[in-house]
Amino acid sequence: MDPGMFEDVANQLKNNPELARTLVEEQKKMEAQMQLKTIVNKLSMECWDKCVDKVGTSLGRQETCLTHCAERYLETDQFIRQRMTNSKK
Amino acid sequence: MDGYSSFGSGSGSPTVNSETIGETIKVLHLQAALQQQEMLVQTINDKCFKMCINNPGSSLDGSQQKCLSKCVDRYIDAWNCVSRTVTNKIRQQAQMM
Repeated sequence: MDPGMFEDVANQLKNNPELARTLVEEQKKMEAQMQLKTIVNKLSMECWDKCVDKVGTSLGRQETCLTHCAERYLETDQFIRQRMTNSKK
Repeated sequence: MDGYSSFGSGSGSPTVNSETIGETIKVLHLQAALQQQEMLVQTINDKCFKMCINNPGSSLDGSQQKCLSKCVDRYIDAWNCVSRTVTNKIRQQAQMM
């Protein structure tokens, strides 16, 4: 690979601000999606352990437990963040 | 040589235009999706092995295979359920701000 390649690409983007903006926006979108998926993955793992002890043909009542578990997990996260900022004062 | 085909292997610099950028973004999306898929497979493997294979024998027996099938389907259901919940919660919080 030509070492000057990235510089050249950067220069081309500098001359085309609209394209550069598209790229930055796309990157932000992808980052947000990845962040969301990381949270969903984490919560799915935690809540599966708490709510699903055996598997059937559908989740049934376990779905309520999963919803509650995910909601409470997010609230716990908020609660702890608040406590940490308050205790810093 | 021009455009996307010159990325990586060609001589000279790649041309940056909306087409090549579009192609690059598509590739990045695909890569992210594959990475995501791989992570999910590993998690499901972990969870369902724990749930279904209590006594590892000389092969996966019929009941273990049945359990694994159900477990994979339910894990995906659970993932979707959690995803809906998280999305709703974020939407609620965004409205409050």
